[in-house]
Amino acid sequence: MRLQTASRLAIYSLLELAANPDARLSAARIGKKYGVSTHHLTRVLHTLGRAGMVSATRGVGGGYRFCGQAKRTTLMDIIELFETVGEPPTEAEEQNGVAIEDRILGQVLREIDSIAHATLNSITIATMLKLVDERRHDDANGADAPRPHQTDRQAQ
Amino acid sequence: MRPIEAPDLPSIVALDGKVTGIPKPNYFKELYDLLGTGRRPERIILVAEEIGEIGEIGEIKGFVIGEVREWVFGTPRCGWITAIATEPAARERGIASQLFESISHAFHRAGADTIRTLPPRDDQTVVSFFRSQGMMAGPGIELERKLR
Repeated sequence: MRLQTASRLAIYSLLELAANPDARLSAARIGKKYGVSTHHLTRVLHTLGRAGMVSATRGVGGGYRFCGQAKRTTLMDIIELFETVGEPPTEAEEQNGVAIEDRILGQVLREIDSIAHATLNSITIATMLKLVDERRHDDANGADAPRPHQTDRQAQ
Repeated sequence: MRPIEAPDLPSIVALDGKVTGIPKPNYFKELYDLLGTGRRPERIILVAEEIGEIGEIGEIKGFVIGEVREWVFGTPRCGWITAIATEPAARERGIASQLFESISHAFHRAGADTIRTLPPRDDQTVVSFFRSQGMMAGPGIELERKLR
């Protein structure tokens, strides 16, 4: 499965903003990190703003800020703003499948869509940030090194 | 977090009934006899007990059930979580996360180095919770068919 560029940029932007909840970040700064034009990113951020996920402030010191709920906003919530994940069968397709093979193939493809939906619906911005932190820690210290929360747990 | 004791059963049945809408007293009694007696460390039921005032009995706010299985389609020892629930009014307090951590340690002590579960994929609350604990898709795939 591949995501459209706008969906990926939206996810990257929200991760960047949610990781810095007290800061206002410019589109230029986020764009520089991910190697995309400010123009393209601004359009993505505008869509996120209309969805209530980011707020924007103009002027000196302005920028974008995450204003969603990191524990509630899922990858699907974001992606659906830009594209459709899987196509549900139309009523006509359901009823007028010309061959059993068509219907069975449709059933298999819907199974794949269903798994994709469940996956994207279950991963929140907060979970993504946690995974990013853990991977960053593993890359810096080796996968076998205790992670910060494990160290804390052992100390309790 | 502590292992289940027999007097906890009514609270667990009530909590499960509240969460699932289906009370299952016989099922939990059998499950307790099988998993919860502490005779075998690879079979685990833990409860989250909220301690009250001195002399008061604590309230059960959650539970987790699991067991270590090995050689399921060739996979080595692995801890399986088969149920987890928390009191709805006590959510967002980290109780399920503590239960998850506690059973992870118990599985590890029983020789497992992986933890798995098989929640219904349309149960977004439960799946999101496991995702938040860092769980990702494993090597297996759930398959089923109707029996005729």
